[in-house]
Amino acid sequence: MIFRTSSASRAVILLLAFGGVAPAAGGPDVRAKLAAPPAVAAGAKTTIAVEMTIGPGWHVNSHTPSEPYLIPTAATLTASAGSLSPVRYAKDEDRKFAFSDKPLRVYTGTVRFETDLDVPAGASGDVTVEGNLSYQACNDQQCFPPAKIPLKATAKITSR
Amino acid sequence: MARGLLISGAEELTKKKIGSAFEALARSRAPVIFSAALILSTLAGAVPASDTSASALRLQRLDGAAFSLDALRGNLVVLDFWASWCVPCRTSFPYLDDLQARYAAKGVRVVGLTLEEDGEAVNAFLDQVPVAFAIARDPSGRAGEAFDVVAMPTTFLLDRDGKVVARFEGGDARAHAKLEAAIETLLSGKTLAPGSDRRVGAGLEATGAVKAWQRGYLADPFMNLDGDPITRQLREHIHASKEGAAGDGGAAGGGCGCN
Repeated sequence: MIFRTSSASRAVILLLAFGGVAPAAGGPDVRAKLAAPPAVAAGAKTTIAVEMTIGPGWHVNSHTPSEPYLIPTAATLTASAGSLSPVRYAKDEDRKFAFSDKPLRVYTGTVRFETDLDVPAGASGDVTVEGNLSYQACNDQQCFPPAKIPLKATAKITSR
Repeated sequence: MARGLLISGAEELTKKKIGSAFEALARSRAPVIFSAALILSTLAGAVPASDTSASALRLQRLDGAAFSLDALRGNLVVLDFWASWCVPCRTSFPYLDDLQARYAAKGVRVVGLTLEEDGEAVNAFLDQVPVAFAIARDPSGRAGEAFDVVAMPTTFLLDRDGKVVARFEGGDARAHAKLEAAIETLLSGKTLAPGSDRRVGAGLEATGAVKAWQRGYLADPFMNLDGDPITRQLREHIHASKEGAAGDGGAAGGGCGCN
């Protein structure tokens, strides 16, 4: 096979070939995205959500972890127009793991954190909500260091 | 021609020339690309070496005094990477403390190595889980990379010459059993058989996909906004491609690179 692509694309393909930026085999299976509608109304509130998916066998600490030394999951967001309400975190669960004497307060599976974007009346143009989701993931054997997923969404502001 | 590319790729290698080397190889055929990339990354140190010597590490005790694994030569050393936020580490520490007590007279030494910068968190952990074995920290922040540690706890067994001879991932009874079996094997004068290690999953060693834990470096290299220039450029390229493919103008926001 001979590559007939741009040099940048060839570099990407090259590194993907030996796994340079491929999804980490064995690393935490944690994904997140910012869900926002394509348009928001000026003078109204719109719910923006962080959708976090934690793969089978993995867990992350709750936003309010059961021990003070555990690193919480936290969404930090800002809006380029208007204001955001404090994030409302999903309901966590108490789960017992083999490596812990006590149950831990964690998130597993798919969870959703919400915030309300309040765009002032008279606003126009676009609004961008961005930030990151920080977490620390473990499986039933080991724990990975804290990590962050960048989040960003842009919506058009419409008049009511 | 392929052989010539492999040889010239290797001869040209320095870390600064990796980018141009990739460009040259990208103009060749796919099987050569993979082989040459593997050679390049091995020579660049990105692929973990199979026999890491710990003697080059310059560690410190928590009081700041120098601590050298070299000084422990002549002993078998159990080197345990841990962190204050790691619950399996908390479970494993009492076992390691007991291990030290049982085997100290036979020339076994346990060292707990933390890569954390938060001294208060480290001290709080040790107040809650007191142990008698040596605790060290790594001022350089490079020990994780040197040992290809990506998760905690990860424990290494070093022979009397300071050479890493086994790796154990996780802090459960199975990892402990294998660790102790390996210690007994070495104490009896035998060498470790293949399979003496304890690996909990493929890919938990540092590879190009998962980077080793080092100071200031977040766990997921794909999400790390402070990565090296090549990684940043590639991430932007892939992110832009995904956004373009999604056709939603970016409303889906930052993906994870995990799909």
